[in-house]
Amino acid sequence: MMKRTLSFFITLFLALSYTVLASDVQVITSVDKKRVQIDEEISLTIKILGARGNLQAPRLPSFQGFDSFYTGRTSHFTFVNGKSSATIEFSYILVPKVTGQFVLDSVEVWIEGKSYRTERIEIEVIGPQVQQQVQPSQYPSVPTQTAPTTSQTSGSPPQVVQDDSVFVKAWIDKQSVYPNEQILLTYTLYTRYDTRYEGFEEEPSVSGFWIEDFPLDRDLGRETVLEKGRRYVKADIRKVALFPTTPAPYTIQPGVLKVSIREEPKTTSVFDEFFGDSFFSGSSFFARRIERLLKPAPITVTVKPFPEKGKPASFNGAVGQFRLSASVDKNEVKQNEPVTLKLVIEGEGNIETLSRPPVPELQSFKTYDGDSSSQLFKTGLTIGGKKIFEILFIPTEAGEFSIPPLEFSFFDPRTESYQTQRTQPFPLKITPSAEPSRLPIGLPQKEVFKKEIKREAKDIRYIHEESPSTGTQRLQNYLYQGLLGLNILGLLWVANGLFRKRQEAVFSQNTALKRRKLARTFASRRLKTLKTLAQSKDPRQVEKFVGEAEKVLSEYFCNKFNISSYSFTREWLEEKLVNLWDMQDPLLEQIRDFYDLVTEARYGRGTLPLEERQRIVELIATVIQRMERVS
Amino acid sequence: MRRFFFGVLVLSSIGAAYALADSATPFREASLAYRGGDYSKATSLYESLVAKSSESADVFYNLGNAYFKQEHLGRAILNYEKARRLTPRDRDILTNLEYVRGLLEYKIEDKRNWYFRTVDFLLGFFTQKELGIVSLSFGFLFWISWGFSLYRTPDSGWGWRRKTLLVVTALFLSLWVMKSMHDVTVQEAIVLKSQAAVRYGPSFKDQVAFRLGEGMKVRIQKKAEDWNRVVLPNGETGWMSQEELGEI
Repeated sequence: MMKRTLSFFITLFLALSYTVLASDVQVITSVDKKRVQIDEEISLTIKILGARGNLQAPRLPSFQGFDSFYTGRTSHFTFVNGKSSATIEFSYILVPKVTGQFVLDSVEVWIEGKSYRTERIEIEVIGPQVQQQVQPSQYPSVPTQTAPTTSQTSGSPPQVVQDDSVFVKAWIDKQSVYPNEQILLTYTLYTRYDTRYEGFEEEPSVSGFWIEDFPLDRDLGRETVLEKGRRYVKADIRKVALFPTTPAPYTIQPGVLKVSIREEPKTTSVFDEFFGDSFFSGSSFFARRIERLLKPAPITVTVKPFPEKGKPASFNGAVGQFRLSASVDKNEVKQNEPVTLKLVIEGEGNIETLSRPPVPELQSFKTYDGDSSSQLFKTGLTIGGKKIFEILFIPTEAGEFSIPPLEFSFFDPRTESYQTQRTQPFPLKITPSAEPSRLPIGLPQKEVFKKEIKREAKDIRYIHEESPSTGTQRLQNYLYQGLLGLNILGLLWVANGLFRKRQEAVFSQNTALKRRKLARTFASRRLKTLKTLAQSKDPRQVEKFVGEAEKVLSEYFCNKFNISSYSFTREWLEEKLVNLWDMQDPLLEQIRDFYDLVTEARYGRGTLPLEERQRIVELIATVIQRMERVS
Repeated sequence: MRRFFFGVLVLSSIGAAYALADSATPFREASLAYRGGDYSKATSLYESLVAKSSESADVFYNLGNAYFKQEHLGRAILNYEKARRLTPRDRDILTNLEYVRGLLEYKIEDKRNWYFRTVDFLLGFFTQKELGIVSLSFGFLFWISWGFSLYRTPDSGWGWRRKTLLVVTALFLSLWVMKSMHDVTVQEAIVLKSQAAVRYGPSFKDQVAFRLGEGMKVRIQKKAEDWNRVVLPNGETGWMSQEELGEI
């Protein structure tokens, strides 16, 4: 922000200075060669001397037979003996596509409302360098400025394309390293266009590595280099520190990154004037840009195993150059009171993955891991920092003891040797105390007890001394049998439900069948009531009994023969029964007597003793049985 | 009627208590002998309890321990296996069984397919009764669910709950049937002697095919008088004398 503000004021100052210190304006066009082959690039430079105010990048006319790209601008401002002079150069690349003799039209440049024109330039294109040669007359008109032939049009999603004029190399500083040794992965962009780095489209695949990015400088250092006989501007756009975790051959997929290439300057801002040499950063705010995806080639690296020779027992994978220091928070404590030993390891290397130096088992102390923290520093192109471990020692006995030296080993890849550092012993005076052992607050929750239970010997487990209880088995048996019974009941219940459902479905289709089938069921239910009435000694119940008896038998016949109760007569019944039974059947006579008796009883002309009532009940039951047998 | 049932209950409880007290005394004696280091006495007392048809996992487990202390690894494993059949998930039994198996001289690679091993593991994880109880419990819930829907108007149809119950019931029912069939048809045994000969035929005249170490588990495929045709987990077969094997 600060830098931008400063740029604005400087621009303003210079713009004002131009108005005061202006000199004659000159526009000069030049090319680096006038005789080229097809696809060979020509550098076109438009140099403006003594210009004042804001300048737009000149728009090239349509050069038939050429592709053209704007590749940036450079500004020079000199102040000598009180006189200032300004020079601005606009650079373009022209790529001839067809053979022939061409004349590049003059370019119009507008400066402070005045039009200036450059001189014409003759170019001879010889060939053939391409498979298809097209005559100039047949070649379609080429737009004033086009994207490179291998690029896609603006607006469509960018794709990975091969273009010799812009590419990225990913490279590492070491091909063969040890585990946890730093490798510097650098991405270098080579370009011949006005290019801006837009970030990573696909991050590098670096499984098996701990990675740490270096911050990118705002102002990328860049230089002009010759690569395969061509001039490029190159810049390191990303640097990453990699720390391999295990020995193995690795292939790093460097990912895909995005750049945008300026296609055609339409307008320019005040910033373009002096700082708008937009390579990688600024560019004209309104410039039209096309995006490109660049995919560097994969990189292979071999991670060697650590040498076994001279490997200390305390070595735990630390690689780099480190220093170890230690301190205790107190030298005199009460029994069961914790003492904190602070270990600090600092230096350059795999700080983040360092593990605590081993603590030997101490008879008179309980030891616990306390807090640990780390700080990383990026010094130049090296990762370094500081890691702090806290170890709590809780003395269990009173007396004079000491915390023994702790050993920390690391592998130095520069000398390819192991280095061991030790802390000094810390004498401790422990005074007796009756206070019980207590862990510092917060420590138990972290569950970081250092000691693990170790089995000293192995043997079978002891016998079961409690008398074997048969209760569980008996309970299981009861449960099993009970569930078996419940399942049988459940099955029957479901079967009954299914039967009833089926019956209902049939009866809903055939009411006559329903009446016939259920005639006995209904009659049996009413017969029970009748039996109760037959037992009654109350003379007033006789009439009720007679009525009920008639209803039971008559309704049974109605249901059985599927007729309405209104249609039921004694004559109709006799006719039906004679058809079913023999004319001389005694039951027929008994039914006739029954209906006579019912008629007499209804009009109070007859008495009905208990025996007679019971005989009627039996008669009805016999008739029903007989009828059911017949049907 | 109530009095009758109450009387039966009291009498059966007294009977059970007597039976328990009767077996508890030699059990306690055996445990005391084991604690005192008299493993031989402990073994005979535990064996007497087994002979009284006391099917107790604790008795088999303790007997296995007593045999182990006398360095009879085969008999120890045999009794641990018997205990495991009754209580398949008891940690003590499994730990001791694994420990004693680890001491065996020979090892046979199980070359059976993974699904056979998985089924074996599943069947060995439950007792037959446990599988029966679980299957019947789910089965009962299934009948209840179906019955209610049948008697309800209108029928609620086969919802996902009843379908799930049916699947779970069918699963446990299959396991139960498999376990029942396994227990009836598969007879396993432990080799009780070291360097036990496995022969090509059921007689001492037949040539020895290979030898098995004490404590190894075999599956009895066929019986012929005092001889058993055995199959090893790696597929090898042969005939072994009855006295060299202990059936689980």
